[in-house]
Amino acid sequence: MRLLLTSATSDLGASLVRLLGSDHDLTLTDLPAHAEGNAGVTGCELGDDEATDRLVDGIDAIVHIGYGGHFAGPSDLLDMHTRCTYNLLFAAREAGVPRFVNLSTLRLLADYPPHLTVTENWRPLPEVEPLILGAHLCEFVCREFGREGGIKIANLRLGFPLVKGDTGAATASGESAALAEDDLRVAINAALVADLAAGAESAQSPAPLSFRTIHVQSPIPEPRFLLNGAASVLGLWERQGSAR
Amino acid sequence: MNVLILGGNGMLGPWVVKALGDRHRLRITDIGEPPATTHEWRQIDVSSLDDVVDAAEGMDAIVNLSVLRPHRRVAFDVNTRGNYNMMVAAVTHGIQRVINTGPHFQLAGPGYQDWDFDLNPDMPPQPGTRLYAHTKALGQEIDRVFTTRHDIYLQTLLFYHLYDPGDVTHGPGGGGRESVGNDLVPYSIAWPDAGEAIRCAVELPLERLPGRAETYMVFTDMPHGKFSNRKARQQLGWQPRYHLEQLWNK
Repeated sequence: MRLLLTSATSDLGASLVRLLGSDHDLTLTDLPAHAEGNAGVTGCELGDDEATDRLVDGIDAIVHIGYGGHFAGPSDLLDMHTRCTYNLLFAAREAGVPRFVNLSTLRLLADYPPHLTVTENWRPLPEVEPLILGAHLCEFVCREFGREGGIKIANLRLGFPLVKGDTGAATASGESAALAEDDLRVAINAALVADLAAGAESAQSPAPLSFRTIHVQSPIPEPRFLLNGAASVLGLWERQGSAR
Repeated sequence: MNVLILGGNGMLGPWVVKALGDRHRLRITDIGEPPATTHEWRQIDVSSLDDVVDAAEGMDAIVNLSVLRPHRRVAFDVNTRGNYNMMVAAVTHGIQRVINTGPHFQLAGPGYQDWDFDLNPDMPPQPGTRLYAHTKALGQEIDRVFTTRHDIYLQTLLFYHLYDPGDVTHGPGGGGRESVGNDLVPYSIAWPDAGEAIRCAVELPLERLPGRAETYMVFTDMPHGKFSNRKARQQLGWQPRYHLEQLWNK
């Protein structure tokens, strides 16, 4: 599958290049200031212009870093997660790109006490700190595009921290919301092809759901967040990470 | 009360100034040229955090009338990040009262408006991806999040088509698209009534607000049943003076 990866020179972007590079034909992009000097990375402002149109031309799916990309001042962060995301989705929809995977964060739900059965049905509780607020607003943009259809959008809220290795490494980290890189790779690959309407009320309608939020952390013992959506939509980790 | 008005020299600004001017000390700001006014004036850009924070010093309330519709970058700068800057300014200066404005479809977008009736301001927002609605809805969401973390009370007043009550035959802004007896957008109001609604919001005791983020659909009493202005009438104590009957009677 030909994938476009945004914020490709960020730490998370570099991890994704390593994780997804053998499975897909990657097109890497980043803002020009970050792309400069990085061979193989196309600099693009993600503006409302032909450069963004060219970027999405012929792409099968976009993996967009909606949290945890580059650190910047509040204005630049909010701009990336609202306007740039809007421009990218607008161009992708126009070009007929069928799938968009937004990588958000489970930190949006971190204020709920750990004993609660927090799933995708719980309302996010973002802070005003721009990193978290930006992730929340990025989801907002994606949701409205998903509501209108024309492009399937999987909104993956990723666990934290991201740890190298497999589920065992996540368990060993002692972090209840940890996400192992191997599990992230599996989840993104599943999200690229999953039926996003699986199990939804609209699944049998002529216009089924085209936006779905899915919580993704490693299926460790006593996970902080339940993985009901990962099981029902992505087909992952059945009977793991669920309420007992 | 010391009131900062952002976007004070646009279409709605003069009517708000007229409604508030004799009762409050106003600091009018806009990116454009200064209005003819006896009130304090500053030329600022709401997309500049420093500009907005500086302008809010010493104020008791902020009224945000700023808006930019067609240009993609500037729309996000003004309608979205302008709200972030406003809320940071409110936090910085301990301003509890923030009044935001926007079009009704930042909440009741096509997913509602094309289908339903009795649309009301307590529905969750569905702006869709139309630039104006989308960017304003993002701004309102920023405002709402700030009220969950800080001691700020947000009142969002939603408007749409605005008429000169002395000459309703030429449509919103005098554009000439509406005419008597041909019906009108069922979300319309006269300019003076819109200014009066802002005054009601500015002067409403904060303890009478049911929550920290309240939204109001502000339009005149109309027979369509499409939208509901009940909350604006009941909570703000606002009443429209102009009913625009000429436009919805044959």
